Amino acid sequence: MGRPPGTGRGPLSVRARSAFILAVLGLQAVPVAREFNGARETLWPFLAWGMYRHFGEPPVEAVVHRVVAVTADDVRPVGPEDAGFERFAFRRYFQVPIAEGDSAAAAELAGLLGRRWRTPVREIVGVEGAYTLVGDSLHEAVTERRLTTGP
Amino acid sequence: MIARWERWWFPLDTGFDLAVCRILVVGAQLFVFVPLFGTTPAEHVAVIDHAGAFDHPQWMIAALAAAIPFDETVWSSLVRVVYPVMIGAGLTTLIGVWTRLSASIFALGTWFLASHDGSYGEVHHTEVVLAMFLLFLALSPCGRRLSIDARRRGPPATETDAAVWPLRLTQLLLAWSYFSNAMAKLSYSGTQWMNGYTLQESLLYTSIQWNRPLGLWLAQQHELCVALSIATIALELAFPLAVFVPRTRPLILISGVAFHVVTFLTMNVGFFQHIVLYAVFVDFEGLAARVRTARGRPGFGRMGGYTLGRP
Repeated sequence: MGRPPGTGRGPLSVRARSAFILAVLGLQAVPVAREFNGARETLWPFLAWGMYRHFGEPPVEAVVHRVVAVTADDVRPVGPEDAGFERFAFRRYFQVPIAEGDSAAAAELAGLLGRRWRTPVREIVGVEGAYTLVGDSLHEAVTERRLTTGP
Repeated sequence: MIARWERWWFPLDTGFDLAVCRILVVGAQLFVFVPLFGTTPAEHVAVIDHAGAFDHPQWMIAALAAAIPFDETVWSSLVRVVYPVMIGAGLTTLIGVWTRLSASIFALGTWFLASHDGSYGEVHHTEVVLAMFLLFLALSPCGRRLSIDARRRGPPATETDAAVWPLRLTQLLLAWSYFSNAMAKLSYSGTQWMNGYTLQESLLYTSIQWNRPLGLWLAQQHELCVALSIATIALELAFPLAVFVPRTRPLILISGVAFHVVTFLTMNVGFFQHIVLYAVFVDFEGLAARVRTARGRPGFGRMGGYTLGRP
């Protein structure tokens, strides 16, 4: 392609840029192929975009986990910011395991909260809420797991 | 064929659109996404302390860990050092000081922190295309306009053929993110994905987990969920048109903004990075010329071959 003399060409040659563009586009196929083989996503930022791809059927159900801490003074809901974790990490390390009865996770969380709140945490309660939509109404079944962590 | 390829990727351009996109995307990353949605250094360190090892490390982290094996103190220090360096490089990229070097460091820091975040068993997609765009900035003359570098050097005497490809490649990556998502839904679930129950289930979980009353209401509207599911697939499949048929851009981009705003309000799923990246579809130089004309000051007009209305 002819260009006027003195035209700015930028930091890479046309050939290098073309190769780079082809590489970026071609690499998009790799995570898709890996996903078909069941491999975990380890090629960030080359990821498959198939999240939320599974379909649901009636009844519409959801299981939600929460954590509550009991101190000498009060009972407090515990969020990621209380533990100092990013929200998905908090769910992965504490919300779900504690709701399933993991006492080691509860003890670790109680220690973290005690240090951050400057008050001992006596009990960690894992709450598992199972929700079902039936017609226009929402049914809720709550299971609590009380995990004693201190005196 | 080669000439066509070069015409599409490497038309002559002033670099104004690229510079505007640099400012918008880097500014949004620095002042919105990092502080409001990003993982803080303290949160990175909390995960390092808790996990004690990587769980499926991302390739960049695995490569780095080959040189610097996982150690809580060392990796915590690494994160604490990278974070402020990344912010500093972001600021200099924004104002355009040593712009390409700054963009390189900013991109590297962003890639490192996002990869580290995704090396403990859970990977997120929100920053993917934005991180790629930052890399493209590092490899392009993104500071030849609207930068302190440009002020120092004076206005460029020539156009460049290297200022459009980062925008077009980002357009394609955005289109791929939507289109491949729709294809994954259709290939795994078929049209069943649009049965309404799929969306109701997602809404029910996310609205209760993240306290989204609007999402809980929507979860109970079956017919509306069917309609929104069909609209979602239609938008995702149609998004590539925004790249190749410019007159469809306003409709598709406005629909995209609406889609992301609704998913945030109802499900706490915030892909605002994509909304900011829609800037790569906009002909800012044409807009600026029109503003100048409207003000009665004749501008120098477009100098490049890249406009919103041109295929």
